[in-house]
Amino acid sequence: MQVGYEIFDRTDVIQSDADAFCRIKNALSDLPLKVATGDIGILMAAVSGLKTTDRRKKSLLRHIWRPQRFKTILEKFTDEVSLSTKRFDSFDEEKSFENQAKEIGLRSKSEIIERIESLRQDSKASPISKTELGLINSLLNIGDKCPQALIKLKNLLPDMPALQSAIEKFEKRLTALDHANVDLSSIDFEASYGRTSMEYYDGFVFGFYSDSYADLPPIATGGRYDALTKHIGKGREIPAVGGVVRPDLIVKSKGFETNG
Amino acid sequence: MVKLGVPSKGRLMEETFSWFDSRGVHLERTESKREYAGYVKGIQGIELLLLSASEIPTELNEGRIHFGVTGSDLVCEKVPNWGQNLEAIKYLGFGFADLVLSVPKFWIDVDTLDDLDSAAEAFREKHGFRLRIATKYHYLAREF
Repeated sequence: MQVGYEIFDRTDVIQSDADAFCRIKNALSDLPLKVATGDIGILMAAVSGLKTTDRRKKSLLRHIWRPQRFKTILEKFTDEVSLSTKRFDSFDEEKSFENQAKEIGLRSKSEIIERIESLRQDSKASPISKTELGLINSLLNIGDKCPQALIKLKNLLPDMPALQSAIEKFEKRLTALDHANVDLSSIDFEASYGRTSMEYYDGFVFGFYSDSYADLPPIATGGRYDALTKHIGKGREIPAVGGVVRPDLIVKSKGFETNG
Repeated sequence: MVKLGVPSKGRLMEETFSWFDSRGVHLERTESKREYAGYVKGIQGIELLLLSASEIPTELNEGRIHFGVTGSDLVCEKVPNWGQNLEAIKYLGFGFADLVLSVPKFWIDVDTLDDLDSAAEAFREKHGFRLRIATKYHYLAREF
């Protein structure tokens, strides 16, 4: 069972982020909680800012929510050998298909040829530099209380100018939370937070965890999901932020047993 | 009464029976065509249940049997987060099953998982829906 709270509003999305967070935080105010936050928007900005092909950026963006896969392909994109299309050197549109089984399924011969061509094109671009790989990794490893995390993020700015507007948003959000009397020094920011099991969130993300029962799943989770409304709206969109609270876990975290 | 569930047919049943046999516990299937029942010689207080290997993980998780012999793939597949309620006490070393991912042979551009991933991306862009993967093993496939 879960109880949801959502805000659909385009006037001040930063304020909405803070409102949604506070509403849930206040509802849980009598529980000893640990709070973790993240910002997928910062990660997306970092990927978009890489000096590489759009094709590679798109693959990375698609895998932000699968950390292991993301790491694998990012490393692949930094490596000349694995980007090489040598295996297609002898590819010939006519001959290569001759001894293969017949065409089955929806994916056609022309799609295969197209992909091989685009891989060949892409392999001409130089690999992502080790420096950029290092920067992405330092970003992903940031984990600290919010005010310190902000400093660490800002330290990356000279090398990662693409983060500028995402970090500004993050800072404004901290200000809005501070104005709402949230004690920022008690709240964790982890750059990688929300990357697993929170697919469709694409901005601010947060989770509330029991401080007394560390092995309980999060009591409440939430975040911003603008891209989802864009996708569902097929052209129309409305910025959205919200979260869910799981009442059964509240009961459990107070030390009571529940029946399932 | 401790309840032990073992596979009710085929190679898995035979190998389970001989695994126990070689440890001095004799399992016997009762001679009845309809009923999947059996008994245990060598230990007191055990009830033997012959079940389909794919039912055993669920039966364990629901607490209807106490010990079970089945495939670890089936445990992962049938009981999400199985480690919360169940414990693997012994890997028996038989009945290995390979899960294989296969694609049409004429996809000459797809050799690795990376290829499949990027082919799927292109497919979705072109056709407007995701590439479909057929499987009986929803959880295992998803985790993979």
